[in-house]
Amino acid sequence: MRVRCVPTRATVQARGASALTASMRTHVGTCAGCAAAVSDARVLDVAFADARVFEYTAPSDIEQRILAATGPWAVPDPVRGGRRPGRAATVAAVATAATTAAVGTFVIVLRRRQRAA
Amino acid sequence: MERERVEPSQPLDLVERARLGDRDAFGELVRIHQHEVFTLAVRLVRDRELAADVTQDAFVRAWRAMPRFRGDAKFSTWMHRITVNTAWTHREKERRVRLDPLESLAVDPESSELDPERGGEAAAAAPAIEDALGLLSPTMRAVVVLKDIYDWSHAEIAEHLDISVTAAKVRLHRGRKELRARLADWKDGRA
Ligand SMILES: [Zn+2]
Repeated sequence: MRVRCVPTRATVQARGASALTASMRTHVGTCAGCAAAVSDARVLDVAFADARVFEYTAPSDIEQRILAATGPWAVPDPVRGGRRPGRAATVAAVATAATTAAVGTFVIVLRRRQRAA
Repeated sequence: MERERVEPSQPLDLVERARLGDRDAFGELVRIHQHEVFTLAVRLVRDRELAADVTQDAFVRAWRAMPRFRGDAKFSTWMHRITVNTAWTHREKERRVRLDPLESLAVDPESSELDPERGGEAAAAAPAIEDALGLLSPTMRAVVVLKDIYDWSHAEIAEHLDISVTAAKVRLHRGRKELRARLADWKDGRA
């Protein structure tokens, strides 16, 4: 470990390889330890860049679950906020999805009328 | 190669319609943002079932809060904040989940599958960093994820995780150090 190693490695670890000054870069060219530290830092920078475009695929039923949990009865009210169904209500909502679909149009029309009134 | 995330096209009035209680518009927002919200949730709680619960809960909270969304932030940014807050309230559940470090979330083809229609591609180092993140403590992982992947400020992170700015900085430093060591091993293994 040489005198220039301490600030060089502190900079690399805190702010990445791109933050090195010209004299630090010169030192890195002559110091195997700091060169390794820079190499590790670059791997991390690349990994974070990759992570920004990487996505896990949400479960295929998530949309249905969300919409069931935000059912027509939970239309947000700017004053009071929507009533939030519990887990049991969510399960019940999924179980009665067919019924909801059948009467949904009626409910929505009714709610729109209620809001309009 | 360009690595910028592809922002899905989002008609401005979609958010406005959802704000006024239009469930169809909100459903469209769910379709557009479900994967990115789920991805953030997985990174925070490291369990797919729990992440699905967090995702569902976050969107329900968003739906209830839509009338108060004023559009001064992007919808996705707003969703990220709600997701972090929701995930943090699920921390008790996470503590009960036994995580096997050998069980990789990222190399599970089901969990890491990328839909070409959403753009982006599975980059070489992504599974490695996802695995390495899983080995950090929950708070350290959250700080690193929010700072280095989602570009949050130290102050934002501190506020949402209910820690001091100094604590956020310390955990970021330690977290990066651990990740560098893990990724160095990964790089050596590939060489
Ligand atoms: Zn050196």
